[in-house]
Amino acid sequence: MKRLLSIGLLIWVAFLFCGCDNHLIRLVNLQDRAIVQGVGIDWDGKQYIVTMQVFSPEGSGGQTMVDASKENARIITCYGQTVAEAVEKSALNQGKEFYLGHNRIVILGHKAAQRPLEGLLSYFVNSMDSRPDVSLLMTSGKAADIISANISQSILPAMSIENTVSNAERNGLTEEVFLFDVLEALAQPYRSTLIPFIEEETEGKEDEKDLRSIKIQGLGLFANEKYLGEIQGEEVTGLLFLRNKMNDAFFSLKTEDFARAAVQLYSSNTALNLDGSTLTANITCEATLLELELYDNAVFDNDALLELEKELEQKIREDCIWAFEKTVQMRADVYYIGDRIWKENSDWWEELKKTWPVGMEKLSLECQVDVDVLRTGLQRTQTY
Amino acid sequence: MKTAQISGAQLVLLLFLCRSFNMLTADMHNVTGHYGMEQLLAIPLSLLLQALIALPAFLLMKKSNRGMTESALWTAGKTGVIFPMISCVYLVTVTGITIFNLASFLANAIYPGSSALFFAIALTAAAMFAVYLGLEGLSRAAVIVFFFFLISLFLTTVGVSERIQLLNIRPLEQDSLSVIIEGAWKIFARSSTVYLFVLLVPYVKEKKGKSFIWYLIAVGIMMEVVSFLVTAVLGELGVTEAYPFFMLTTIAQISIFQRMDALHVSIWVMVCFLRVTLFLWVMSRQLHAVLPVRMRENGRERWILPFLSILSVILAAIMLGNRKTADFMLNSISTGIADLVLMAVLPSAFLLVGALRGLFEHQKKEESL
Repeated sequence: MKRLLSIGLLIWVAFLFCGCDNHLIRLVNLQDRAIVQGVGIDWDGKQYIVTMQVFSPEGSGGQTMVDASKENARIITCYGQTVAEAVEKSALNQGKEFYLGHNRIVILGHKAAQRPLEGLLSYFVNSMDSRPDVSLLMTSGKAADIISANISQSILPAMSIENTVSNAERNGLTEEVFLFDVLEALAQPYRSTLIPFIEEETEGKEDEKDLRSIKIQGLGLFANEKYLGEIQGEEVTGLLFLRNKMNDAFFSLKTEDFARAAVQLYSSNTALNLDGSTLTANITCEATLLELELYDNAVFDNDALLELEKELEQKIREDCIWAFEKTVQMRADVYYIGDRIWKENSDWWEELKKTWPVGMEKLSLECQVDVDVLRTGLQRTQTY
Repeated sequence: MKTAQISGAQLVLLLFLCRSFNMLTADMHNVTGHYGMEQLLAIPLSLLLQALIALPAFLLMKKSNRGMTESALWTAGKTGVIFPMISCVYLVTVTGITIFNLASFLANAIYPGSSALFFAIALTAAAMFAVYLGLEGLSRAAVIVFFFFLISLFLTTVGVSERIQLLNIRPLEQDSLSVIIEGAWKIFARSSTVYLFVLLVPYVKEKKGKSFIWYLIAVGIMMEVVSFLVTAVLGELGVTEAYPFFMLTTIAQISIFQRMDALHVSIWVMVCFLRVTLFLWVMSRQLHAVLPVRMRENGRERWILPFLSILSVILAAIMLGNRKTADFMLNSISTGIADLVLMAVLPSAFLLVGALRGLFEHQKKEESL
């Protein structure tokens, strides 16, 4: 009898653990889930507008469930005083429960980005199934426009956007920023953070969906949860060097010997040191010569390469100084200088910390760049 | 109930895992208010403190050649019952907090909307069954879980290594010494496994002293690694996170392994199961030793384990249902008074009583004969 009771108990427990009891372990069937791939947040002055791109597979009639040539996504828009309220209110007009576990991007519209950042993102921190490695982006217009842009370079539009940002980061054009990175910077009141700035690429005809894409415009800077402004172009390059986030950046240069030369970095390292009120950036890079066009009388030798290296060093130095000046002007401590002062000179930090990043302007930047073009492809330099 | 003895290495692995449970929740982990050098320096100091405070208990066991409960009864007679009674109250509380921690973590982070009490009951039921399998079986299971734990810790470390920022480690400040000392005390107060070591010494075959040193070293290294990772990767964010190490696992990415958190949670559940089982086993042994002979003859001892298990679940349920009670329980167990009384005050008192009654000299003579 005891054995029978034990077996019965075990079977009952087994049923509980496999999720056959909805009271003890809450479960939602897959068909009742709306798998969110991307979220756009806008603020209309009174309430949040949350636009979600939901995975909706469109088969081509063949064996596969997902047709890569289709959008495979539908757009759901909801409104609320808070992001959570907007998401909850979506239950009024659609019958599925949102699942944020596969969410790839969160895009902040321009007005939403003006709101206190920590409060804006707190939903994604506290939401049970949201993950901290979701990519954060912002746009100068409405996030809804980007989310519903039907970019079809990949199986899913959100995936296309995420891939674009990742690719740009690999090429040293931007920094991919995750929710976690922003939360980490916000937790330390002296630090500033940044978010990539994107725009919808409007080239191509309206019906040419394949040509639609997004373009990385720059980086939006935030300090004390507030949006400060945007930096673009060479300032972004300099900022990435100073933050030691530079990857395989590409540079086009001209020297006395080279009418045109293309160099790509394959290794870069920046060490920031604080000496009194001087911030020293020691940047060491290794690069590949990808393309060259010599002037008629010029020779491709070591001297020509050295000159090229010097030119690139000067270019990087200028970019870094521009970026530093711009961020100091905007009072954005994206290099965590405050932390360095705290470590190096705690007495000075006691004076500065009350108003930091006000006080950044007292610092100057000294840039020491060392570039080695160690790889010259299949061409060799003349040694005679 | 099986009572086979285990080796020193098995005990070290078992208690190492039980201690690792505390590293995963912020309540039991963050002891200096802010992560940084203070936290990293408080760890070795706390290990020294633990060794010093456990000294009277070890001395008593060595002089009496008995376990802690038996030594208490031997030196102080019936008054010695006070020791297993206080000990069981303390261990039940720690078990209840452990069950509460796991159940609230699962209901908060893994299965939102589910019944936390269900997890508490299911875990305790499984632990009850494991208690019947005995200490040896538990130790063998711990060896397997230990390797999974190491793999998980290694993969997490590699997965977040790119995000390590030494700038996140807060430098020492003017009042750091007092913060370090306070932190060391708090770590000691949350190290109930040191007390478990003391209670489990009689079940260890050999190298008891060395095992204790190895246990302290292993726990120290683990705490330093976890604290360093949390500090260097999360920085100040770690202070506001309820489960800082879980946060690390969610961002750790190694090649195709993008869900380190899933691996981590499954290992954490196993560690929690081992911990609850060990606590229940130790409590059962203690109460068994003080149970009147008549009750033992009537077979009442079989109710000890269900009684303790139900008590632990009730405690966890109360904490799950009332946040104030949960805070009160966590704060009161974190004072360190219970550990101090059980490992230093009472053993010192029993040593004194034993010396006054000449019991140790008598024991020595008997042994020499």
